[in-house]
Amino acid sequence: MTCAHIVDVALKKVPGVETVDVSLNKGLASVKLKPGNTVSVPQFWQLLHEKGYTPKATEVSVQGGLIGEPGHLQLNVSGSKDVLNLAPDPKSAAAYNDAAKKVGQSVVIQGVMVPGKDLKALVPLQIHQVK
Amino acid sequence: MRRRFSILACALLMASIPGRTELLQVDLSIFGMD
Repeated sequence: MTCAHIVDVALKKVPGVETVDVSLNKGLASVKLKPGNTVSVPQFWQLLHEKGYTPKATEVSVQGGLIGEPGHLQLNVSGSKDVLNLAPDPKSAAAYNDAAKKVGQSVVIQGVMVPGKDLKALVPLQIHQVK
Repeated sequence: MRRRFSILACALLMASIPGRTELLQVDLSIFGMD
């Protein structure tokens, strides 16, 4: 069984996962999720760690309601106390400012999450783009 | 009739609430995969 196959099978078992595309050359696993899923990025990181791999920077596309104020923007999770902290990306600071103008709205944010030492911890999402 | 209206109103309210966070796509970089 190849490494790619192990990762592919493990990721597909996560409830809410629609498709998985693993690229060995790029060292990348692209996961598309079903509408209504309740999956979190740290869940994927822990799963990869359990399989013996080290998760790195993760490109994320996430939908939610913007709350907070400039300097302390968050993406709200309705029906729970969970919130995703948002941080500016030094390479695209304008995206964070765009987000600040859309507080109270439902948006789709693309950005990067970098796992810390504690893979269970929810780290800030560095914003690249707001739609 | 009133019950149906309540269910419909509830469904519409749930759908209109902004703030539902949902992952759409995740591209995981993985070290150690060969």
